[in-house]
Amino acid sequence: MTGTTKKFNKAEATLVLLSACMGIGLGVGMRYVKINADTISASTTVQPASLSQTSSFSPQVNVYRQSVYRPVARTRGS
Amino acid sequence: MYALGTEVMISGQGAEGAWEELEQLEATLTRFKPSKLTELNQQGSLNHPPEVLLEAVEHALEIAKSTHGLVTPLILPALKWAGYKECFQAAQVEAGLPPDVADWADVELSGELIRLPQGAELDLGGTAKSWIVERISRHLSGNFVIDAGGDVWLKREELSPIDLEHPFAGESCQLLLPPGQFGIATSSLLKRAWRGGHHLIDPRTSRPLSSRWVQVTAIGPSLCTAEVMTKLIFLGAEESLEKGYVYLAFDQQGQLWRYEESWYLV
Repeated sequence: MTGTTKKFNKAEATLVLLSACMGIGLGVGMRYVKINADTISASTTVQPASLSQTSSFSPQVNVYRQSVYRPVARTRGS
Repeated sequence: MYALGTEVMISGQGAEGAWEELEQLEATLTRFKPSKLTELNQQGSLNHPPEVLLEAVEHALEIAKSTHGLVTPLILPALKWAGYKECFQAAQVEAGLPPDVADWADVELSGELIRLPQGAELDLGGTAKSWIVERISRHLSGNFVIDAGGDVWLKREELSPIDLEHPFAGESCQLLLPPGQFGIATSSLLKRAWRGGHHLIDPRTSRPLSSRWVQVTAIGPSLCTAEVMTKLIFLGAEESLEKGYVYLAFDQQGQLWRYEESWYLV
């Protein structure tokens, strides 16, 4: 994927800034909905897609060092 | 239930239809029992191949093309040389040099005929399991989970905790996936392994591959793609990894790493 650059006027820049703030707010909100605060220190969030790849699929997968919830499946080599 | 050479679990509405198709596909595509695939391998060509064999071979060749031959179904002679003929528990590496892995582009494929290069044989084990799992999931409606020997294909409207087995019997880690449909594929050099070898062949050397990793996991929207990505990581081809997937790997010391344009210790 190749990146492009674009110059924003003041109105566009404000809109972009507002969108970014909303995005961050939503992201933070979702994080606290999804993760018990007690377990955050034991987890790592894996978000491989960069902002330039917003059109691609980017699952937010949290990795815990131990089994926290009752699992629905177990992945292993076979 | 035992299928595809491993334990398979299917849960969801329509599981009976999924099981039925799984049995039909396995009967055609297995290399461990007499099948249309073994017939093709023995004869070197097959006239009027069944549709599912055509589709499975076509799928495997597309992957070979997209990975520049790194993940190819033509490794079977090398895999047998490495010892994995019918039962890996009794496997022994043969003397001498391994046979070269034939070029995937030399396979002839049409609706009427599959013809292999001279001496070549196909092993669909590297690609067919995930292909079968995704295919049979068409029978399932609503939320479902298919676990095929540790390769997981699921669709859920809630969070999905998935235990990630530690390769050295350490404590499991856990992945927490958001709602949606995901494939989680894990490959290991420690499973289907024997003295002097294991089941993952590097087509560049025709020998069992060497890697800093012992177990690799990929998570993303396609189980088929996730399975291929785990092989690419073992082969050190990170530059070819699909964007938007999550990659995790255990090294020889049992430490867990994740990949985001580079490897980071978790």
